[in-house]
Parts: sequence; structure tokens; C-alpha cells
Amino acid sequence: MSLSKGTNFRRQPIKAFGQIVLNSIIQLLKNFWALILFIFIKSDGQRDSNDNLIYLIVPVFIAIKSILDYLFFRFKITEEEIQVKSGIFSRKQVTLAMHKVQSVHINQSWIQKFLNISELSFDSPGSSEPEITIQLSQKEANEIMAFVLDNKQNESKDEELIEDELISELSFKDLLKLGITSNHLETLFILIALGFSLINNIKDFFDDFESLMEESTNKFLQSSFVLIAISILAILAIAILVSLVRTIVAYINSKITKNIQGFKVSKGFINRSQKLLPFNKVQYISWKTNWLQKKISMYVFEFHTIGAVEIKDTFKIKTPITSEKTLKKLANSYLPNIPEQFENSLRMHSSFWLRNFFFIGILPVLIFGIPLFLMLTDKSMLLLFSLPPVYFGLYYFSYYKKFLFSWNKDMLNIKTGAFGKEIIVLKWEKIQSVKISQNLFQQRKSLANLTIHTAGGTIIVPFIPLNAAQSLQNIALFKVETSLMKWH
Amino acid sequence: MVFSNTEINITSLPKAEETNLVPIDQRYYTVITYYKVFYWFILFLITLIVAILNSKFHSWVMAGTTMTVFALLCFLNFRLSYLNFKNKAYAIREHDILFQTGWINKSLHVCPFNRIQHCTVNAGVFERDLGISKLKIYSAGSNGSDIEIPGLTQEQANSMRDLIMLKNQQE
Repeated sequence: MSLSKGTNFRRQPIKAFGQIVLNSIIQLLKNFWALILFIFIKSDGQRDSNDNLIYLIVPVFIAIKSILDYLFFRFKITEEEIQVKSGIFSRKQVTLAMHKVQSVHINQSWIQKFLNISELSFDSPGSSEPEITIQLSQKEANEIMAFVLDNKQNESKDEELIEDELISELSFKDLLKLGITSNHLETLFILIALGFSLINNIKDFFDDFESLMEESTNKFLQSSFVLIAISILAILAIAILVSLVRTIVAYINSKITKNIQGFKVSKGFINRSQKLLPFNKVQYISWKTNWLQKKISMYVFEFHTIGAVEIKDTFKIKTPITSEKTLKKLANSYLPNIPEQFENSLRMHSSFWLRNFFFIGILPVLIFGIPLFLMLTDKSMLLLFSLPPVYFGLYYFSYYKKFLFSWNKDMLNIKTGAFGKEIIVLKWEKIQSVKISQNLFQQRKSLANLTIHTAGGTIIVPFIPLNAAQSLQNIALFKVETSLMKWH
Repeated sequence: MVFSNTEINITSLPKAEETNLVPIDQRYYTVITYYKVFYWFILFLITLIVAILNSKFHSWVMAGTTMTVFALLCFLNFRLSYLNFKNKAYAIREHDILFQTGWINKSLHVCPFNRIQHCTVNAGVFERDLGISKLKIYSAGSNGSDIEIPGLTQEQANSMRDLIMLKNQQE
């Protein structure tokens, strides 16, 4: 297959302007949302000349920015390379050689879907974000993606061409199951953090914010027990609902197919995305499940790819799966025959949970709790301070009990997790470097942390005996230095 | 080609922890001292200005306590820097490079040559003045996977960089 897109720089199709305008609006809202909210709150339906000016300035600013962004973004795609020139005041030129492209993603937002265009992203090793993102007509985006796939295919000449094989597809029922059994506590914390950030952002716009907050808090605390209980239940229900919506939005239409180049992961209803993941880009794999999800054979599988640590969530290849058979299929594509039991395994020292329990669960409570105990007249509020020690005590004890580090001649296997369960599988040759570190306590007790750096993230094996850490470091170095396999 | 997969005797593997490490140049401690003196001098000036402007400090007890705490922190900082410096050492083996650092948090980081992406040699103002350089070794690993060896002479740093890149191409 060949590409004949000309040798001159060109602009994106005019239809791409719609998405550029949307991007400008989102960027403006992200940066100035508090100010915009303030203008709306303070206007009280009466507009003065200043307000009218703002209503004029904002659309003009968006229009000018979008036009300039459109005009100054030019690109060239040839069979050898992709080049992009952008920027108004500081000019930027990015060149990415075709053979260095590690993966191609096609994304389509609702507006792009409506205008029949797609966003094509190219990824290369060593970059923390997709190197180049271009909007193209759907046909052209598919054509270029096929060209890159074709190139990758030619690199592995001895393999036969086979049809895409369907690995997993999620039904709506699976999505509901996944949503209901997901981590609602995490959503609750996100909602609480969001609430605090919202309060923090709007407090400057009210003169008597502190007294207003105090008054409403007092009113709430003085209300009946039933009302407080209903409010807490309502917050929990909202958290569950938000988790459900988050899961559905994130994984709707989720489908994994496999061909000789790698996996194709597609998902999304309003915003469609399709990601191509060559096998050699995967550094290690992991899958997570919690107690409830385990009962219904549901897992969240993740491919840890080159540069994935810094890449934002949307570019992580994380996918829910609904059967052990699919899980095995995916894991086997990374490394066949992953055993249940390993000949060598290691647990961490009990001081791991005891020290974390003390330093994270108890010490902060003592530091903040003692002054508050002396200052507060109503001591009942201090009961809340018993929660962190209980939570962190349980968390670290469970983490310590579940942690199991195992290895054989081909791989490292880590079973971890506190309230859920996570399994990590890493091939020896994917290791980049190994570090042994010891704090003063560990030096006294002959314990050490083993840090394994890979291009897909860092794995830490904490509080293991020093001599075991040293042996593992030596084995890892031997495996990496004698391996003839390519790591990417 | 005959495929073999013989078992490896773990005890016979070369031991990274038994490698003789080379301590870094003494001149690097001079560089650290320069930076520390500059830092503590600025901090002292700020403390002095705050003490002069704030009437609560206008007593022998307060001034004495502040100065004692200041001197203690300053001493601890210099002492820890020295211990940290004393623990910095490196070694180059046939297939990898080792770097040991830290006193409170002691670590031994090993990076195989066949995983190195590139190397740089650089020197700050004080380092240039004293004729020493830093060798930074980049791998494709995530955060914290790069190795930075300070306190090398310019020649040492350059020859180490060339050797690493040569080994990297060979492996």
C-alpha cells in the first residue's frame, strides 16, 4: 500500500474548524470558569455596558484564536515521515519518521462524527504524549492508519496475514455489572475533592462567605438525625450513580480485536476512539479485580506501554473483560503459559504494614488530634479521628498479607492489592534498570526496597530481605544483559 | 542452530554488591559547600530581617533560641550533605554501570549498557571553575530511572560517556 498525499504542506480540512472552535471554548472554560460563573451570578438579570462588552469580547476572542490555530497549523504526510508546523508567535515544527511510529489512534468526538472527520494521533517511543495529532477526513484517516499497519506488517515478513480476531466485546449488561461493582469509594473521594475545589473557587466572589458557610453547617448539624442520615445516603447514592455513568461513558462499545500487528482497542459512543497497540510496545501487563468483581469473573486489564506513565488516562490501554478465558487469551499474547504457582516467591516483612500504619494512620492523627483535643469544647467531633487509623491499619495489613512476589526463568509475577487484587506480569528482558534502596530502619534490619524500572512504569517490591533483593538484582541484570530479545 | 535452555546457577552470577566502587572526586564536596554556604547565607539574611522587623524577637532569649536552632539546622544540613557525599561512588563493569548514593536513604542503581538511550556531560558554574563535570545517563525507564554521576573530571566524564555509547552500540 502507498501514500500519495503530495509533498507540500497543507492545512486540515475546513470541517476541522468546528472541532478547533470547540477546543478553544473548552480551553477558555477550563481557564476562566470561575470568572464566567461569577459574571452570571452577579448579573442578576441586569446587564450593564461592561457585561455587554464581555459578551462581545469572548466570542471574538474564540473566533480569532480558532482562525489563527487553523491557519497556522500545517502538515505533510509522506511515506517516509509526518511533519507538522504550528504556533503563531513561537513556531514549532515536529517531524516523526514513519518507521518510528509505534502506534496510531483514531478518535472521533461527537462534533467530528457529525462532520465526518477523525482525529489521527501518532505515538513514538520516548514521548510522553501522542507526538502528532491531525484532523482528517474519516476516509483519509483510515487510509493512513492502514498504511502504518501495512508498514508494521512488512517489518514482520515471516508472519502470515490473518483476519482480525475478536478477543472481547462488552454488552450493556456487562457494563452495568462493571459499573455497579466498581470502586465507589474512589468516586466518593473524587466528588468530595470536587466539592472542596468548587467551594474554594467561588468563595472569593462572596463577601460574607465564611459566615454563610458556618450558618449553613450549623443549620445542618442542628437538623434531625433522619435528615442527616438521608443526606449521607443521598451522597452515597450519587457516588454509585456517578461510578455507573463514568463506567458506561468510559467503556461503552468496548471491543478488542487482535491481528498480526497487535491489538485494536475501540470504545466510546459519543466520542469514538480506536487504538492500535503493537505487541512489542507492551512492557508489562496487569489485571485488577475486587471481591465482588471476582465473583462474577470481571477484571480490568491494562497494557503498560512505552511512556504510559506520563500519558494521560485517555491514552492508556485499559479495558474491562468479563471472563477468565479472555483474560488468559490477553495474558498469553504477552507471555504464553503464565503459571498459577511459581517455584520462587517472596513476601514482604511485617514491619512494612506496622510502619505505614504508624506513620500514615496514627502519627498525623496525633499531630492534629492533640491540639484539637485541647482547643475544642465539643469533644464528640474527635471521634472522626479514629477513622484514619482503622482504615489505614486495615489497608496496610491487607496489602501486606496479599503481597506475593514470585519469579521463574521467564517472568516476574506480583500479586498485590489491599481491598482488591492486582496481578502484574513482567518479562525479564523488559527491565530497563534495577535499584536497591534502604532507609535507616531498613539498613538496621537488613531489609531493602527493590525498584524495577521499565519503559511502561516502575514496579516497587518493598521491605524484602536485603540478600534476596541483591540476588534478584543480579538475576535481573544477567537476564537483561544476556537477552537477545528486543525490548520494544 | 541448536537451542539450549540450561539452568543458571544463581550463586555463580556476578554480584553487583561486591563490586569495588570508585568514590567521586573530593572537589565535588567543595561545590556542594559553595551552594550550601550561599543558601544558608540567604536564609540567615531573611531570618535577620524578620527578627529586626518583628518586635517579638527583640529579647536575648528569643534571639538566642533562634540563633541556636538556626546553627543546629545548619550543622545538620552540612553533616548530612557530607555523609551523602561520602556514600556517592560508581563502577563500570563489562555490561553495566553502577551508582551508589545516599546515607539516610542508601541506594545502589544498576543500568545495563544495552538499555541506555543517551548520555550527557555537563557542568555548573562552580563545577567548571573546579574542573569537574556530571555524567547523566538516560534510559527509557520511567521517572527516577536515569543515573547522574557528579564529581568526575572533564576527561573522566567524556571518556566514560564515549565508552558507554560504544558499549551500547556493541550490545
